[in-house]
Order: sequence, then structure tokens, then C-alpha cells
Amino acid sequence: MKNNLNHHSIKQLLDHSATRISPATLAQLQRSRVHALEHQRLHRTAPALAWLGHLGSHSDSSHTSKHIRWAFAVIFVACLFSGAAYWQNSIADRDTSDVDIAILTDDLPLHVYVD
Amino acid sequence: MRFIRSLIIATCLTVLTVLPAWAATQSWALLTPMQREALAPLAQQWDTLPEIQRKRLLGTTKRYPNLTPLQKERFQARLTDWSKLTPAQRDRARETYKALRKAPPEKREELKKMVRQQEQAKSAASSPSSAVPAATR
Repeated sequence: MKNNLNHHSIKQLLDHSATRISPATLAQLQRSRVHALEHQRLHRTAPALAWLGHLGSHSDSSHTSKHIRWAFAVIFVACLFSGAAYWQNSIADRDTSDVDIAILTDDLPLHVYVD
Repeated sequence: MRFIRSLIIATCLTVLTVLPAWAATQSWALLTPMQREALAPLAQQWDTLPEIQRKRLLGTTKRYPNLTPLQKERFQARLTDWSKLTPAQRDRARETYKALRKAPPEKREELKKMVRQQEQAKSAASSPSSAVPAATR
């Protein structure tokens, strides 16, 4: 015997089965569904709330505080680099100023250096 | 941990607030009396000079109090011409100065002598009646 099962017939079978589920089981399934949906919603919002909550606290356990530590490290390194660049620039400026004053006070006139 | 965080934030804020304040001290009105004395020939155009030029000129004034009277005179006499040069001309002058500094003293003396002779010839040509050679500036 050839058993022809297409999705229309599967749907009909499932609908038929669903009508035979007792109201108590249906209510239980409904409660489980609502519970699962609520649980999913909490999971989505929890990290954002946790991040806000940990901003002012000392907790280091959360991965969010790890991000904050990284952010501070990046800021610190950026400050360090800016400071180093500024210091290097100051040295270059000081050298240039030394040469400038030497030219401006030298025995040789200015045009000797410019021409 | 909290202390270190506060320290980093305080450092960053200090750097961000002090640097603009430092830049603002470059206007003529805010210069020290010593800086104004050294840069007196540039008093009129000081505020119109490019920031980098002002910064470098301010750098030169740090050594101004230690100069001899003759060096101070030369400094002020050359300041206006120096500020009129283009950045490229000033860079070239610096390079020439560095190259001449490395040259042997006798070569440098030779150059000085040559320049002095040129100055004297120029002075004699401009005023034939005057026999006084022009002082090297």
C-alpha cells in the first residue's frame, strides 16, 4: 500500500491531534510558553542592565567590567603616546630655538645663512 | 583599582585643560616683561604671526637674559628681518648654520673675513666720502 503523506495531510493530522489534547494540558503548554518567552526577554536585557549596574560598583567578575578596564587601558596608552609625542616635539622645538638664537646673535650676518 | 581609575581620569583631564591654556599664553598681552623686551621689534605684528613661529621665538627668549649687550643688540636688529623670512628660508638658514658649525674654525674665519670685506666694499660704494668700515652685524 502506498502511503501518500504531503504537508497538507500532515497538517490535518496535527490539527486533529491538537483538538484531542485535554484543556488542562493546553493550559500547561500555554503557561510554559509564556514562561519561556519571559525568560528569553530577561536574557536579552540583562547584560545592558548589568553593565549599568557595575559602572559604579567594584565587581570585577562581570565581563563588562573587563571592557571598562580595557577602555581605561586604551585611554591610558593614548595619554602616554600623546605625552611622549608632546615631549619629543618640545625637544625638537628647543633645538630649533637654540639654532635660531645662535643665528640671530652670530658674528656672521643673517644674509650669509639665507642666501 | 578605583584609585588608579581616578588617577587616569585626572591625568587626562589635566592634559586636556592645561594644553589650551598654555597655547593662550602666547598672545602679546600675556607675555612676561622679559619676553616683551626681547621681542620688542615684533610688538606690532606679534599677534598676527603664525603660532609655530611665536612658539619658536618664545623659545629663543629663554636664553635672552644670558646674552651679552652686543648679542642682544644683534638679536633685536635681526628679529624683524628673521620674522619676514618664509618658513623655507628659515629652514635653509638653520641647515646652513648647522653645516657651518661643523666646518673647521679656519674655514669659518675665512668666511667671516670674506663677509667683512664684502660689507666694507658695499659700505664704501654706498658712501664714498666715508672711510669708516661698517660694523658686522
